[in-house]
Amino acid sequence: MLPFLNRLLIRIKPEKITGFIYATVICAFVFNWMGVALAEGITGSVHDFSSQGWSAGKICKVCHTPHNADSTVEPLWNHELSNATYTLYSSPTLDGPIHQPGRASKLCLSCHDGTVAIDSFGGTTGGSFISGSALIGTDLSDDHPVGVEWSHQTLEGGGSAICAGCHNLHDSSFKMPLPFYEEGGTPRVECATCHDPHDDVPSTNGELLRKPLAGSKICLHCHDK
Amino acid sequence: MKKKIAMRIMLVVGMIALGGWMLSSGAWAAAGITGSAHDFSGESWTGEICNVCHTPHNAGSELVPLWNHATTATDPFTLYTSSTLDATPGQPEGVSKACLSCHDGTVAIDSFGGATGSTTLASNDDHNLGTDLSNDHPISFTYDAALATTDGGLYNPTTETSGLGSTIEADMLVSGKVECSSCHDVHNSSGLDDLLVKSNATSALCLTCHDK
Repeated sequence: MLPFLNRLLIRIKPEKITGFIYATVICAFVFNWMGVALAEGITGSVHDFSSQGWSAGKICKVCHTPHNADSTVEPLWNHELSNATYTLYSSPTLDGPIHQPGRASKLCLSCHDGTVAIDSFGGTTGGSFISGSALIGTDLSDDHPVGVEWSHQTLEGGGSAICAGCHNLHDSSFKMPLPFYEEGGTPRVECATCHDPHDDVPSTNGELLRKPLAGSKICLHCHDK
Repeated sequence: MKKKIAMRIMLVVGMIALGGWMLSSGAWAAAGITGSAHDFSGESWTGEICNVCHTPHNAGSELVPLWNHATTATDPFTLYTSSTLDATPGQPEGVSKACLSCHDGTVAIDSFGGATGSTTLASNDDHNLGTDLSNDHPISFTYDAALATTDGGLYNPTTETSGLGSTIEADMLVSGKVECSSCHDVHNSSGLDDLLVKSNATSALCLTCHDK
């Protein structure tokens, strides 16, 4: 690969370099417009705390550790867990049984409920608590339900016939547009259903969301409105 | 040869014209909120659809699920009265109050998520009902079997079918009351004009409840 690039670069005449730069900039704009995010992944995301003094320049270890992890929650959990009991969402229009937040919410709430410091990990107790709009608190009654059962397999009585509408059978990972998390034997909506904590999604979606806010696409993925 | 080309051009022009007419005439009216009168995603002040009324976090009072819009402060509304009215309309509540939080004309459409907007329904807009509801069909009143008996001109909501799958009570009432949502579906699930829950051709919607 390198010798090839070398030969290619040698062939670019100096007078053509300006044009080459223009072409690169135009491509970047076009890709950005097409929704192809230029910066995906946790590095540089709101969950990249490597610039904070307490992280020792690391990203992953605020949540994960390769050794001596908290064995009560996977995968390789390193952050102090919240012990809060949450006030749950309720509404006369809510049909699914709702439970205390499951694993794929509780890990998030271990910073976002404001009871545990962001820098409480690896056995140390920190003092930097979350604030602003990212602070959800322990009262979840004004938030979209999490820990709520969503038996999507039987949606509209369609049974297995509707599976192929969302799941690509020819994709080895059975790619899911939005993931649901099994807890107590039922698939449930959790924080990670909509948000990807690792920001491995197009940055144009905003808020670490798995689908775009534009046109409310993420809402209308499940809500038939 | 020239004739063939001319015919092809006419065919293409004709198909475009037909397609345009079908779209503009509503012959292809699509059900669902996307593209409906309540889809404000084309407005510079949102770009989204749901967030004008709902939010996934830090929602307001439970008028409707996960309410995100500024709520009307109108109190009291002028209510409907009539010598033929046997029901007792109350002040608009719940879902009706949510509708009136744009449609009474006192709150801007773009007042949501804690922000105060400036796009209010114009006073001469048909969609602006104002705070005087005395010239509008009554809402926020209990419609039960007793009312049907007293009035004599109403079907029993607990037994009469709505044409929407079940009884009037199950399909059209909110906690046993008539509200804006009894006739209108804010989310446009039917795709009908005026966001009606069922077609009003030959007044079928009116005659669902009124035994005339």
